[in-house]
Amino acid sequence: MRIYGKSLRYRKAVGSIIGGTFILLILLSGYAFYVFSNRAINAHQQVLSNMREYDIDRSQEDLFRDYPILIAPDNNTLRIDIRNNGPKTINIMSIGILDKTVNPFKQIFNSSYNIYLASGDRASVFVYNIDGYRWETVPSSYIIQFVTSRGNVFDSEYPYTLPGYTIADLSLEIISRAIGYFVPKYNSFEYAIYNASNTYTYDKWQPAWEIPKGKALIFRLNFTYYGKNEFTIGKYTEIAFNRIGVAANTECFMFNNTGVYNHEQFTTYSGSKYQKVTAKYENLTIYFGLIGYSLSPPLRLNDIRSYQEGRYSLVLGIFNSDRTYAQGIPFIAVDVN
Amino acid sequence: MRKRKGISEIISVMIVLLIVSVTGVILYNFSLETTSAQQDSLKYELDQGTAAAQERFRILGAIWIDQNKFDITVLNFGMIDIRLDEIYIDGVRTDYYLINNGVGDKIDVASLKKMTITSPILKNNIYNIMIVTERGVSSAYLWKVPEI
Repeated sequence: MRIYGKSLRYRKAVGSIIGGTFILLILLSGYAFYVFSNRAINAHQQVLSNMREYDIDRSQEDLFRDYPILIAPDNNTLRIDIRNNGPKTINIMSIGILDKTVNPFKQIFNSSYNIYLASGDRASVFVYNIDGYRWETVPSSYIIQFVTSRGNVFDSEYPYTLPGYTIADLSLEIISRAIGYFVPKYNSFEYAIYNASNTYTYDKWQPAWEIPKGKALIFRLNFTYYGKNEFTIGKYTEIAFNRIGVAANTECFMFNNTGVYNHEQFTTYSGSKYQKVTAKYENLTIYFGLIGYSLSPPLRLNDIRSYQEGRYSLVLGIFNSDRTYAQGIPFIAVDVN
Repeated sequence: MRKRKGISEIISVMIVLLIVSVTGVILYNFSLETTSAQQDSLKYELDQGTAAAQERFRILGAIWIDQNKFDITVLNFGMIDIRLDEIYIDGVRTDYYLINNGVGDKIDVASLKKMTITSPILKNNIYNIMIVTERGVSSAYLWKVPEI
């Protein structure tokens, strides 16, 4: 019986081993699946993570486009200066150009490039005339598209404009901000000898680089107005004659010459002492000669300054009527002899 | 004298072993098949999802040709080649799929492709152009047709 019993237990143990082996195999297959799925999901997550990083890199691309310039019409080349303002290297893979003067826009140029720009690097891109197409200066309006390998498209326009601005507006903005509303035409500065008679006439206008001493003089100077809005030139507008080497100056104020009889008829000096400028780019002439802005018309001889011998440096001051705008321009040197 | 009934112990043990073995094989097979199917399914889904996640493309622009045709330029800036499947204009399927016999244009990585689309286009209208790839990824582009 004991031998039997041992044999039975032994055989039962074999069954358990077989059953256990299968359970182990099943568990192993489950584990293998777990390992596989874990690896696959990790690989997928890695790709997603890489793509997220790629998208972030993409959003950081920043290509600065200086305005395109047409250079040398004879060789007909379009030049665009670019700079990588972003933190990542940019690969420009294509440049396309659309002609905006035709409706709808026509793509006139598209070519593959392989330009690498490290962060902060600059480059000049030259686009030559292709297939006999010539870049035209007038009329001209092109959109230049830079396509990067990360899928960004940076547009630049020729001629360069800001949104909502015309070229004229832009010129106005630049000039009026950098210099001021008024830009004088220096070579238009002229003088005339004012006659000491009841006719209040004057001699011919002459360039004012040199002016005669001891004479009553009036001056005129042409300007271009670059302001956007109507402007009233105020009575404090003047030319200051600073005598070099002498601590004294002579103020030469603006007077109004818009007489009813003649454009330059000083006898009809209105005394309003104001001059309005309305339009952009308006050309105007301002007359100077009055030594005191509070005088009443007509312009009298003793209102006109005569000048002593010497060398003068001139400073032009332009004010509006309520003195909320002032513009000073070191002007010119004048010899009095 | 005891009366002996039933089968012998050897036979019973053999039967038990047989049952355990057969059941084990069946269960193991089942588990293998199940995990294998799960693996295949998971692999397929992940492969598709991974590939789709690597797709990046966009329409760079559209250019009017005539009242029934326009060009679009598509840029593939992703990590994987793409093949276009369908093009929709304002949600309406174009005949792009039919014209191409169900095989859309292939666009390699880092390349541009220009293609002509046939669809009625009215001047001054705004159209929502949507392109869909074979992996089901889409990209939309809002196009204002200029005054023609």
